[in-house]
Amino acid sequence: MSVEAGRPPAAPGGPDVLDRVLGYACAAPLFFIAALTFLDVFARYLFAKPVQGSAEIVQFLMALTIFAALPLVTRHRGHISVSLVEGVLRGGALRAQRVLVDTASLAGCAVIAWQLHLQAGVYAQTGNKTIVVGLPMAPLAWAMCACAAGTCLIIALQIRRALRQ
Amino acid sequence: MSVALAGILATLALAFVGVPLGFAMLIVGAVGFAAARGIEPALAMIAQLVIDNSANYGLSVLPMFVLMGVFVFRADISEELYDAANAWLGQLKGGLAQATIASSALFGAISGSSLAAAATMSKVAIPPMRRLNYHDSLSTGCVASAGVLAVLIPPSVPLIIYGILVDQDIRLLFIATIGPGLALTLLFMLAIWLTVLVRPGLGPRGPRRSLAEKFGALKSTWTTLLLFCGVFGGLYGGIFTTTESASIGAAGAFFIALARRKLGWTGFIGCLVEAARTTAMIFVVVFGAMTFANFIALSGMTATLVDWIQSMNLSATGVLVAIAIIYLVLGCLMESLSLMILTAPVFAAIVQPMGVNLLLFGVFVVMMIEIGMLTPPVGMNVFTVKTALPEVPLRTIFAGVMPFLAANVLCVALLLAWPRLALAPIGWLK
Repeated sequence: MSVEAGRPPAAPGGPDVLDRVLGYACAAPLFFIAALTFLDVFARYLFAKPVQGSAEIVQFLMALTIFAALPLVTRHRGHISVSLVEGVLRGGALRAQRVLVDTASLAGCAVIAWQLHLQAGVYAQTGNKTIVVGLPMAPLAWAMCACAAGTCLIIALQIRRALRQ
Repeated sequence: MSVALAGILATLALAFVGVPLGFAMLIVGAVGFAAARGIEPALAMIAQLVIDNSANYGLSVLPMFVLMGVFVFRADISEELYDAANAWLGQLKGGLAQATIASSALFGAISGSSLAAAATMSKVAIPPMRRLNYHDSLSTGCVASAGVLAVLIPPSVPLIIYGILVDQDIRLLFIATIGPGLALTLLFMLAIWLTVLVRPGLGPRGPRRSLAEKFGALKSTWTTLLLFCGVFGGLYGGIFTTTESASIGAAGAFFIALARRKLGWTGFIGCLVEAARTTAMIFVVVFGAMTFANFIALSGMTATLVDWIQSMNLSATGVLVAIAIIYLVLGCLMESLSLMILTAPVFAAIVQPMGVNLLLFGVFVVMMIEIGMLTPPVGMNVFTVKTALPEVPLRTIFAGVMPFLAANVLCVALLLAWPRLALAPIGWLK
C-alpha cells in the first residue's frame, strides 16, 4: 500500500472499544504536538517569549505518537508492504503465508521492545534527563517499550487466529 | 559485496512474501550487522536508532504536514479550486482537463497527497468533463496523472521521507521542487493541448465565462490561497522553520475545515488518528531502512559499486540515466514509495561521491516515483481512478495517462540536462 498525507480519514462508525482506546491514545500526543508548536510560534514571534522546552516536549510527544499508533496500525494490518503473493494464495497456503509474515513481524517488533526495555533500564540507572526542562528519559522509554510489547501481543493473537482457522 | 547482495535479496524475498517492509529491512539489517560486528553492537544500534529517530523534534514536520493534508481532505475544498480553474481555462479546447491539472497542482500544494488528489478529482472533475462529452481516456488519464503533481509539489510526503532517510534539509528539498513542479504542470498542460490538437473530439471547449464570473470564482478560494501563502510564504521567506510552517499549516487547515462545518468531534479525532497511524507506518519503515542502510554501509558495497562505476568512466549524468532506467523497470513491478525507501539511501550513497547534489537527486528520485505511480501494471493513481469509476476499463485509463507519462519523462530529462531548474531557487531563497 502507499502511504501519503491527506488520505481519506477512516470511515466513521466502525471502530470497536479497543480501536477507540488506541485511537485516543495516539490522537492525544499528536494533538498536543500541533497545539504546542502552534502556540510556540505565536509566543515566539508576537511576544518574543517562546514556550520553554517546547522542543523537548515535542520530542517526547513524537515518540509517544509513533509508538501509541503502532498497535492500531498492526491490528488493522496497515503496515507498508509489497506482497506479490497475497492475491494468488488460497486456503492452507494463504494461512502459512500469514503465519510466516506475522512471525517475522513479531520477531522485528520483539527486538524493538526488548531493546527499549534494556535502554529504559539504563536511563533509570543513570537518571538521564533532557537538558532544558529535565524530563526523565526512563518513563518515555518504558512507555515506548509497553506500546511495542502491546503490538507484539496483537501480532501473537493474529498468529493464533491464523493457526486456528 | 556478496554479503550485501545476499541481504538485498533476502529483504526483497521477505517483502515479496508480504512481511511489512520496515520489519523485513530491520531483520535483515540487524542480522547482517550482527554477522559483521557481533550481536551486542547490532542490538545496541537498533535501540539507539529507534529512540533517536522517534524522539526527534525535527521529524515532527512529518506528522504535522500529514495532519494538514488530512484536514484539507476533510475540508472538501477541491470543488472550489476546480471551479475557479475551470472559470479561467474551461473555454479552451481541452480546457476542463487543463483546469483539472491547475486545480490538482493547487490541491497538491496544500494536501501533499497524490491519492487524495486523484480520488477527489475523480469525483469533482470527471462529471463536468463527461457532460461536455470528453473522451474517457482524456478525462481519466488527466485526473490520474494530475494527482502525481502532489508527490512533487511541497508538502510532498515522499520528499520528506527522502529527506529523513538521506539526511537532507527538508526546507531546501521543498525549494528544489519549485522549478520542476512548475515545469511539470506546464508540460502536463502542453500534453493536453497537443492531444486535443491532434484529436479535437477528445476534449471540446467549455462555455465562455464573463470576467465578473471569473473573478467571482476566485473569491471562494481565498482561504486556500491564504493557507498556501501562510505556510509556504513563511517557509520560503525564511520566517518560519519547516516544523513551524507545518504546524501552522495543520492549524490553518483545521480552522478551514471547522469554518466550513466539515469537522465534528468524531471527524476531528478521526483526522488525528489517521495522521498518527500514517506517521507510525512511515516511522516503522524509517527504523528498518536506517538499520538496513547501516548494514549496507558496513558491508562496503557502496564503495565497491562507486569504484566499479568510476572504472567504467561513466559520467554522473550517465549514472543517473542508468538509475532512471532501473526505476522505470522496477516501478512496473513494485509500489513506488516502497521502491524509493528500499533504493534511495543506496543510490544516494553511490551518486554523492560522484558529485551529484543530494537535493537534486531527491527531486529526481521523487519524479521517478511519480512515473511509477502511472505505469502499468501497478500504477497506484490509475487504480485510484478506476476505483472511483469502475465502469471505465483499466486499458482506457492507462492509454489516457500515456501523454502525461511522456511529459513526466521529458521533465526528468530536462532536470538532468539542466540541474539549475531545481538548484537555482535554492540559491535565491537560501
